[in-house]
Amino acid sequence: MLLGGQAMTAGAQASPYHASSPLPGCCRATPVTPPTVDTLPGLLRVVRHAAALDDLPATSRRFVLGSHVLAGALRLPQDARTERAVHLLAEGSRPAGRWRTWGQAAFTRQAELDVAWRNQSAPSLRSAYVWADSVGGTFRSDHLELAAALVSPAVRGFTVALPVDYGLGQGARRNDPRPLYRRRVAEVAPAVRLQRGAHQVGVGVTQGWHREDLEIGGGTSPEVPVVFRLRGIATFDRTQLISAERALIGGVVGGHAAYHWQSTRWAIATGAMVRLERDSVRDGIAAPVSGGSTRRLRQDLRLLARRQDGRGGVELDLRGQQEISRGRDPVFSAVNAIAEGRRVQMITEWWRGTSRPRAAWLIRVEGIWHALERRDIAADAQWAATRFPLAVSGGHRWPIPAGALWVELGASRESVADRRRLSGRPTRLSATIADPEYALMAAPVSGARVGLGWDRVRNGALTSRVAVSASARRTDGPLFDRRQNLAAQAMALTVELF
Amino acid sequence: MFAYSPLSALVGRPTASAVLRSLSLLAILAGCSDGSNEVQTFAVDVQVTLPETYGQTAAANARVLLTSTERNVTDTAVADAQGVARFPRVLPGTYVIASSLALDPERAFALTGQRTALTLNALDPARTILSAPPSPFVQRLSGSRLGDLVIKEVYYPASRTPSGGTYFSDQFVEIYNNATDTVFADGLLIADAYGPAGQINPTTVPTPLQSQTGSVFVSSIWQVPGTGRQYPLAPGQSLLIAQDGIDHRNDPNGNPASPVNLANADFETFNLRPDGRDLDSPAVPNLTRIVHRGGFDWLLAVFGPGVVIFRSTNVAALDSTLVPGTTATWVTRVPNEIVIDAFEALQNGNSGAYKRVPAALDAGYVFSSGTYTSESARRRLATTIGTRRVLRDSNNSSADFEIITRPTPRSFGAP
Repeated sequence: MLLGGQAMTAGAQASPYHASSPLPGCCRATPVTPPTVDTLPGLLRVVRHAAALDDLPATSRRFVLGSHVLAGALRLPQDARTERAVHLLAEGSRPAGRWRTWGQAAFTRQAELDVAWRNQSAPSLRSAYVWADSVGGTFRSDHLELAAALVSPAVRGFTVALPVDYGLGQGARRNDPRPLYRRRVAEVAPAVRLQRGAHQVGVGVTQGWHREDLEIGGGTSPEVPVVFRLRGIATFDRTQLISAERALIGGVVGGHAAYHWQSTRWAIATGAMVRLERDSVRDGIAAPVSGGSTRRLRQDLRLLARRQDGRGGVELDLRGQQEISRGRDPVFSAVNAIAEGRRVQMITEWWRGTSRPRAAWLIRVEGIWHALERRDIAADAQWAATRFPLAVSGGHRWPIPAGALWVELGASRESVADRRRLSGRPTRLSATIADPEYALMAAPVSGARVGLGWDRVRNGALTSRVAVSASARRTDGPLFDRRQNLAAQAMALTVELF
Repeated sequence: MFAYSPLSALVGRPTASAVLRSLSLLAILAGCSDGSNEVQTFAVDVQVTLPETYGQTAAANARVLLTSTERNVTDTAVADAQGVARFPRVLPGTYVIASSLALDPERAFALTGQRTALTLNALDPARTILSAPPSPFVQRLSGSRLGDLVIKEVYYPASRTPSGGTYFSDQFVEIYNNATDTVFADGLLIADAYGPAGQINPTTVPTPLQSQTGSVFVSSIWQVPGTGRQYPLAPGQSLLIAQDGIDHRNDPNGNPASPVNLANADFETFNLRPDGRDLDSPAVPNLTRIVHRGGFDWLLAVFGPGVVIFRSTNVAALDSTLVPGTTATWVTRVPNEIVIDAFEALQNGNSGAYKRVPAALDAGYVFSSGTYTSESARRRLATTIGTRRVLRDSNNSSADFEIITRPTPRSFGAP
């Protein structure tokens, strides 16, 4: 859901449109900015529980204009070499009588340069069944995401919320065989909260639908294109075609439960989420045949605890996550493509100041244990790696007459243990996808980041922010596939008005 | 196979029952493993036996190729002393099983009493294996002698014109002297096997002559002219036979997008007709037309031809026969014994059932990625002795040939 996740970070996209993947964005440097709103540990943060919308200010509005560039060779083989995007976002909340309303609209225009082995939108990489050709090229795409939530007044301690998300987008490659996609996503997540004194309990369910229509073919080249139907990290079939259609149709069901307790100085929230997504690929229109289906099960546990007083505070964010993806092959009619990820993450923050967004000093330590595995049974291909990212960052704010200047500096180091690889029946894709993926996942990475910003404050309220951030990541040495010292960079510029 | 929810479009609204069903399914699936099985592998044994007339039964050291028609991946195993080749991890699917055994003169003498090197082959063109077979698949070998002349390259898929049209006049066949002595090409016969190369149309069926494995049935036959010593081929030299002997890239009758210049071909197949539709290139001598049962020129099937070269002291005496089930389609029977070399290409990896050349002559086949792709089938290099290239010849096109992206007439360079 956009709710909550979007409220915490400017410009970042955290919607079903950009849902999780078995392969995390391990290799991209991502821009960061500190939060503009201090959301206490509660149901909204821990599980994005919409009925806890009162964790946010009752009346607010925000407009964001942002741009980012991600570039570098440190990337997964189906990622773009360079990604440029412009974001526009408008968000606001206001009471409607005793009810509360919240809404958001986000537009992204994006260019992905040198995309190879993926002729559809990136979220579909959660599926192993991807159209591709060996040519690659530049994709341009537009995405619009709309979200709204309606929250009832409390009746005998019960509050009900109905958030709705809808996203649509389309993208196309500029060169033959000119693949294009149109994608639509919708999700509803009704939620109920019960509040008794300092205690809150919330439960909610999620139902979603998504559909991506794909076309390929056309162009002016006399060469008949060879199109690959990927069926795993090394299994594929290929065919020559003039034009063809494909649809990826899927849905999601999920649920969550969470608990929150708050005292004068303490706030504790814990919650669990489960999310089951299914995708089916359908080749052709007149006589559709299966192109494979994928089932992903994601389970999350999270604990947030904060102690805060007028001088500062400390917050602990502990998360556990497991995601298992199983792809049912259209030829073997059995599970062939398997991806699994398990992750435990602990983030600790200390700050000095009246609130976290306006802290004079902030120190953040983040440690992760992350086990990843991908298998392709037909190709007898498999890789696994356990990564240990550790990141330390610090921030400082200087009050100035019109507001504050802030800076954030950070460094990270990702070590790797227990790396394994098997390639029993190598195919052309083994060296193209499976090996580069493993090479990156098995590589130690070092990173650094910096963020600078100016917050303009009037009458004690934040009215605007201008922020720029940059980050870089680099591997240590020769990778498994003999590439040397891959690096990636990210830059972002954001202007926010409140 | 498709998603369980009514997800065909976002216009559909979820019903209460759909939500309840989804939630109950979630509760079940969240707590247990996936409901579908993983792809299973199993062991497959192939029992390779020698021909019935040989002194032994088990074909020890026979090489067995198991090729997946879906994935176009080949696994290889060598038969043990009992003639059993084992493939320990086979995926369900349809496979081409091809066995071959090369006999040097000494081993051939021990088995047959004749001191002549030969290669034995067996082929099962389409074997569907879905689970562990209860008993080994049996392959009985049959054989033919190895040729001194081999088919080096067959450029059959042809090309497209710049406007996307089709152009097939640039096809060629190249014959290569793979022996250590000079061979005279005079009198050499070349022919194309009768039958479709695959499921071209929904009603297409394999040739009914498939079961007659002692001969290859051909449509057209052409012959190299000469008195017997006019066209010597030194070791490593080749004979280039064009459909039309012109520079296809620059000739006004050609195709600027063609990949070949065949103006220097040794021969072309000129089909003299009253309508003069087949042009005769004055610079390239013509093959002698023995039998032509085709269109205006000797067009090899762009979906995949079978080609044989052979010698006969009395080609006119070869039997002609009516194809069963037809009223006017005649073919010529070429006995396996007089065939020097054979090549076969089919439409795709699933076309094994359409094979036309008997396994004793050619136990495999190749296939291009499509028609009019400018690809070509070229024989692989076995070794190089001095400057002479020795080409692979196991009487199995699957193993001996590779599909290259561009034809290489008179060359072994990169396409």
